[in-house]
Amino acid sequence: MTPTVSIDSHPQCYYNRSMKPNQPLVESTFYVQGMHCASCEILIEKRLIKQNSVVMVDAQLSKNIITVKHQKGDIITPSFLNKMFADDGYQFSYNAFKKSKYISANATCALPQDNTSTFFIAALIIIGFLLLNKTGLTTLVSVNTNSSLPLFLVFGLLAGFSSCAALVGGIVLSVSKQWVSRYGNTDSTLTKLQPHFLFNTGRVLGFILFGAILGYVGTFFKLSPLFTASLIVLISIVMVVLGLQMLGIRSLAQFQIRLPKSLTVGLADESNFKGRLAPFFMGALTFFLPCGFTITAQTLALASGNPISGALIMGGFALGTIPGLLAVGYSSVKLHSNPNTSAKFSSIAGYLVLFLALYNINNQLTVLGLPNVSFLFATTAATQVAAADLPPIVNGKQVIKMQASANGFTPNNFKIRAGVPVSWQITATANAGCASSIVANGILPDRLDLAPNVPVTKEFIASNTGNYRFSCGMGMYTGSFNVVN
Amino acid sequence: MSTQTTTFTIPDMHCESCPKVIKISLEELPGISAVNADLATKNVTVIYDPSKVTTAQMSTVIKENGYTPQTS
Repeated sequence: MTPTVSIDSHPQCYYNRSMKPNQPLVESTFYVQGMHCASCEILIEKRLIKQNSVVMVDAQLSKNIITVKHQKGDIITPSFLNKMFADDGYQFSYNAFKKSKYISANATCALPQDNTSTFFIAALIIIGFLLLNKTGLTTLVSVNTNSSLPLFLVFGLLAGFSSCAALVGGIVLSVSKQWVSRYGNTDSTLTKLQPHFLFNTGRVLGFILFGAILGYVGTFFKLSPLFTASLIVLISIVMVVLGLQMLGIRSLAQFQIRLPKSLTVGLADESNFKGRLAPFFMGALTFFLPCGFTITAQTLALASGNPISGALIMGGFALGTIPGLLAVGYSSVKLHSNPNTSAKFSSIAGYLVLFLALYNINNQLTVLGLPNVSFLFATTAATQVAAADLPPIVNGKQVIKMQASANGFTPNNFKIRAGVPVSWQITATANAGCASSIVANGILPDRLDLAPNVPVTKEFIASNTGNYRFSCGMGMYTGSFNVVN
Repeated sequence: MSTQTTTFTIPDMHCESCPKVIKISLEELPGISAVNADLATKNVTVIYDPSKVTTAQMSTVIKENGYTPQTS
């Protein structure tokens, strides 16, 4: 004596096949608040079907309704359901709930929602970030080999809120959702912040260790521009995927585990590192991600030629970046754990991560000398040498002078003769930041790192005419050589 | 009745509903005496009677609900 309905006719629904249909059946539809993913559908269906009087349950996430076929005059009412699912956070009613009262707690199953406002908030933050970078925040603090440790702290503090925020902060933002998801909703904010504390501890200790080695061995850590640029591009691509996931692109949800595993670099995804210590190692490895400030600090640690000073310089710098990075972590933990703000924050963070990833990729394209849209970001107030003015020739060499400062390179556009040796004299100001490392593909074989106020002369011959671009190590500032006959 | 314990790691448990669904589904199998699904660690521990149910059956049930279990 089982109901006559075949399970095959409604494969999506749950049937109670053990029930005796000795009473007329009715179908009731309830509006549900709190369903946010397919698991919720299953959970509600499985719980309800265990009720003796229920024949069929169909929960529809897309419409936020459940349809229940049950015995007439039964106890299946909103108040009964509300009581039954009180612990699970679902609410039931005969009437539709007001829209967007509940927002998904998980972006991978979030439904597309009010995207314009979150987009504008993200756009505002991005504009603020670009303005902050353009106004030359770096001019506020300058460091050199004689700087005291507290100065490196302040230097790091600035870095944590500006150019390093783009790279390291972006990475933190993109993995923080996965970190948060390891903890339950009942865990305290402090508990959920653990991965962020670990990340920063790892970062400080990593910087101290690598700083000491840098002070000791010197050029060991000078990675080729091609390598670091490729590394950042790879990480940025992972960030793009994570950013799109935060925006709730469902088709990408499955990449959460698979994609990063196929990337040997995988720094941006913690699933490569087992266990909860992963953030620690990720933090330590951020030493190798060159943002302008980090390079300056590394150059000075290198110049110190002393493991202890190297460790202190890098450690102090990393300590200084903590407030900025923890602010990113704290806001993400705080906002992710509140269901009302979580989805909104995920969207905003998604846009930010996307922007930062594209920003980083674009900068690295500049470094690699590939076509890009750097004119949107770089300070390109071209201080061009008058067109007719070729540089003076001293002792058979064309002498050009350039200053690298927090505002970029001055001048940043040179006209030179092909086939005649060029003596390129560069002086970095005390606070040059990113501009103190120069990548010139096709002109210089390696990245050129400048110490503050120490003039450096590089000689080269441009044998072919054409335009050669150069940029700072992070690709934020650019310049070019126009080689003529 | 002798019982055994097995643990599945289910990385794609992504929200609070997931452990509940897995727990409910596994408990429907015969010979399951206890299920503990932990979202934080992504681990699902099952105490079961090996004469009545196999880990392969549990695996199948978990997969039917759309999750990818990994035995550890």
